[in-house]
Amino acid sequence: MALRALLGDDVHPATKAAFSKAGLTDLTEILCRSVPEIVAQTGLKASQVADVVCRLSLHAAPKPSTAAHLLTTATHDPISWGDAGLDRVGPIRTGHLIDLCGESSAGKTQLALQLCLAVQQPPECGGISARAVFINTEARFPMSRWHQLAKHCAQRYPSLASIAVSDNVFTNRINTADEFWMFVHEALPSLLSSSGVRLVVIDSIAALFRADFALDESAARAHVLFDIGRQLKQLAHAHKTAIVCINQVSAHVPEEVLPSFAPSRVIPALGLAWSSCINARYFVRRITSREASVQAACDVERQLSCALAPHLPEERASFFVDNDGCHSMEQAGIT
Amino acid sequence: MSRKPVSACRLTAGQTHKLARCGYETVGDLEYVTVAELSKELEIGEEEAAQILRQIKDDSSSGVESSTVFSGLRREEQLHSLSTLTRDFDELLGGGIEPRKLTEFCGAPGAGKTQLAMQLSVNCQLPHAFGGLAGQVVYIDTEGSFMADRFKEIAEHTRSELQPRASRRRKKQAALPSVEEMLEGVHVFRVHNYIEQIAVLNALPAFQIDHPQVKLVVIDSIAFHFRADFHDMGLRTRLLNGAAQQLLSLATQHNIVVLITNQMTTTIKDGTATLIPALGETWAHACTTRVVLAFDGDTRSASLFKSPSLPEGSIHYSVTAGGVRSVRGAAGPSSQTPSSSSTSSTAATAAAAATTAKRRHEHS
Repeated sequence: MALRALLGDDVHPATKAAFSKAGLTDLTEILCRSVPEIVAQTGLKASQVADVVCRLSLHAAPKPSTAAHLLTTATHDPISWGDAGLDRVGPIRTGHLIDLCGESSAGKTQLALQLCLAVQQPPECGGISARAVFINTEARFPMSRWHQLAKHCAQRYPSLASIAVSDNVFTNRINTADEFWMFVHEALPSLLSSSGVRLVVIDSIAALFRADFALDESAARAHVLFDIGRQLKQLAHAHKTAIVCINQVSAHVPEEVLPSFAPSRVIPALGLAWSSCINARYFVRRITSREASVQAACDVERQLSCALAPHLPEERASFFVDNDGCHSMEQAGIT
Repeated sequence: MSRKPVSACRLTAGQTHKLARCGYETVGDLEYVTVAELSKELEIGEEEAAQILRQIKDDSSSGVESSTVFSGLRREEQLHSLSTLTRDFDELLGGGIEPRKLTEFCGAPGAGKTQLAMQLSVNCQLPHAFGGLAGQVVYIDTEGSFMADRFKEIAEHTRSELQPRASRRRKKQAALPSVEEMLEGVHVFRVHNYIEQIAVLNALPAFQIDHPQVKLVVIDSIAFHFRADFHDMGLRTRLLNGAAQQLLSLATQHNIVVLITNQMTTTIKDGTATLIPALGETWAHACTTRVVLAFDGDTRSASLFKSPSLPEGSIHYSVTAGGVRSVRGAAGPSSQTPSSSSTSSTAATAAAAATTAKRRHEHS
């Protein structure tokens, strides 16, 4: 917006003219300079400059809201994992950038697919009656698995019986970090503002950034990750959307950087830069097959744990995957 | 910068008139004006110009400097530190977080920075008798981590833990605020980029005038937007220094506690990677006190790295459903005296806490 329009009629035209004459026509330009600097550039009086800076700041600053007000807005709606036992670990929240990490075949994609179903449930069943976007960067969208889940979902989630669940999930494929950058800055904002999508799954973020950057480009990678993290967070907040990024793990690094809850000997990929961008992190871990005591349907035990989040203490829950999705041991009555 | 009108200074009517004619209306207008400039502009001798500037300087500073011993003493009395309600933490910080200073908490993701910030936002609203500041909170959330429902949870737990002591006192000033009051007392600014962050800091003095009850300003975190896609390091340093200056002047003018959280970054030193607080060397000078939060095996630890008056040290703490708590046995904040009065008799309080814990055990 033009500076003249921003300042309104209360500011003397001569003051506005002095700003434009000095080339200070942009909000960013002005707010990045100190008052004495602008005084020197424009030849105006300090109080006049301070007045303009104050007006611009009041315009550019977000409006505050009290915690009580935030409670009443749906900024941080919980989205169920689709299983009461898994929800004990803590449901994910809209407005957050969430990292779901674990070794390959730990069950990350399975949980994410289940979220795409659960998000469509009405609020009384743990969902938010919204649609989902599933971005693939590694493999193709697991279509046959999705159809299997969609076929069974009416039994498991009665509230979805009348909903065409497959129509509410958009899929997209992205191949490179550059494409992804374009996607989060251009396609995603318009998608979120128009289509009733409030869950975005990116499977996986690590594949993009581990492949496209060489080892000695870690500083450049950190910059891009910070930018993407910031953009995703802004979108998550503005559109009250949960953005779930599936992450891989790296082999152990000596420093105890992360919570001890992280399974031993692996740490999340993409390093500290990415960890600084996210709001919450969940770990999925595959626990080696149990002995004969466990039923055939759940021969592989997996574990979901919350490694960091601003809203919950650390918890963990064991689960298994079968035809109709992820089930916690607790709900299935297995101890 | 002073907005005091020039006419309020002890100048002759002619001088005031000349100043007004040239557009000098407030003391602040003359802040960056030299004697030579002024004498040229007002068409007066350099001597008179120098006298005007001296007079204005004297008049504008006298309002700040002069205070009687009594008012000074009263101000000192009102300068309560903000207690963390965790004895170890308060001891580490020398009795709590001091007002009129910038205190920084750094830590890797998940170390407990936001939890601590939310806990202190609760504590700030408690009466002085409980180590609070009986004031409201400005919470500048740059990362989207402020969760109103988590804040409510911490407020509820803290309140119910302190309730037994509050009902014993029966004094009006020791009455705990309700959870609803505490929720109303936190003003959250959700900031999306560094321009908004600068704008909020510029707008804070005006906000403070409208909300004089604000006693704590939290920035969680200062680093986030300055690390995302920021290539001009010179500009970053300048903006951060400007932010520190603004916060410091706000803090000293209104006796506010300023709490800043910062992220960590990796640096390669002698071939090994170590974690250091982000934003570099210049920023490190800006904060008065710096505490680094970390994971130490299964517990969390806080280490004091920089302080003008306290020895370096470190303590352990934990984050529970109720908020940030001590790890020393069953001694919750309910069995502690607020730090301001207890630092001298640590052993005694520790013993008392132990007996309370024991008695509780016997009861159950």
